[in-house]
Amino acid sequence: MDMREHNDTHTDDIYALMMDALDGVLSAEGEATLRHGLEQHPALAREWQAMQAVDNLFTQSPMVVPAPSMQFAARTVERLPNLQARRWALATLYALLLMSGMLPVALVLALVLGALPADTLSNAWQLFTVLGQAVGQVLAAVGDQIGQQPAILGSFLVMVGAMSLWNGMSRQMMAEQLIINN
Amino acid sequence: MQTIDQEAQWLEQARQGDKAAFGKLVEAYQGPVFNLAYRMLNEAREAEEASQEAFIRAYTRLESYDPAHKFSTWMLSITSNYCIDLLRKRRALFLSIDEPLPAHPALMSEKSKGPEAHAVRVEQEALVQQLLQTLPDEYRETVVLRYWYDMSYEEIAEMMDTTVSAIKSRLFRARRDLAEAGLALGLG
Repeated sequence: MDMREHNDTHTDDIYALMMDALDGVLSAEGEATLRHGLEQHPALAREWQAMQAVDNLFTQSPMVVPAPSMQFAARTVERLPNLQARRWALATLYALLLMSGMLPVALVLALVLGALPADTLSNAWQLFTVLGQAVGQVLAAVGDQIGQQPAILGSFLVMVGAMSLWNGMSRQMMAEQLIINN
Repeated sequence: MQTIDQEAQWLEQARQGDKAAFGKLVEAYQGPVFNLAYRMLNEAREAEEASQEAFIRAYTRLESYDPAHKFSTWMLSITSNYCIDLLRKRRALFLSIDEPLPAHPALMSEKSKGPEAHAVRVEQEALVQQLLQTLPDEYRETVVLRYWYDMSYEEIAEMMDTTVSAIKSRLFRARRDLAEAGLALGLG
């Protein structure tokens, strides 16, 4: 082991003792070792002093809490979402997804078991085709309109932007008013 | 101070969608939650917003809360994760966090103890925040939990989903960084 390595190991030991001291778990023997080590390393002694100063500062600094006049809890409760409505919405969504997954299976099963007339599948297919064509035509018409008159889309986006901006501003103003009132 | 039974009752009621019961929990934990957010974010208004958001997130995730653990630990974990997300976004927006900030309103009540005591308190508080801001987010979080919440290494490790040795190492480096920053600021 060369001298440098020996010194590093010694420094690591001193740091470990410093941490124990700051955590309040340093034994009397450790304290003596630390004191001796610091006497030998003035740079570490300076660092140790700074560490203790920061530790004291943090220990003395109180926990800060929101100003009670701002009715923090009441305002937080006001912002809570409706859990039951959320649960119902989720349950409905899952039920719909489940049904949409089970519908084709039920249809095929019914056909296999002969519970439905033989031409049901072709009728269903025709219905889906007609629906698909209708949706396609609507989307194509909307696309054409936007292509021909981009100003419509532009003004719509501007309107949505202005509404969002106004919404944000009014919320901010209301929050500030609340703080001033309190 | 509420009892554990009372807290469990409020939690159960809140799980059923009782906002008033959750409000009791907000009242009980608003101090620790806000303090953590303030120490992490260094801005009172932003800390208050973050605290509210943390409570709302907790309310919507009450189903995932495991009563085997302390509610306070779970709540602080949500808060610190949210603050770290905010700090990352803040950095992504290239906003400066070096600007001097006004003292927190809670410190204003110190005025009643005399102008000198108040001035010292405000100065100390600014120094605490200044020192904390020199640390990387994860180190700051560890330091705040250790000093202001009196948490053990094990509790911090559990909360931050890491090992005890990682926490010890973070705190060691944080203390060295703080000492260096302290020396630069004339402490020690």
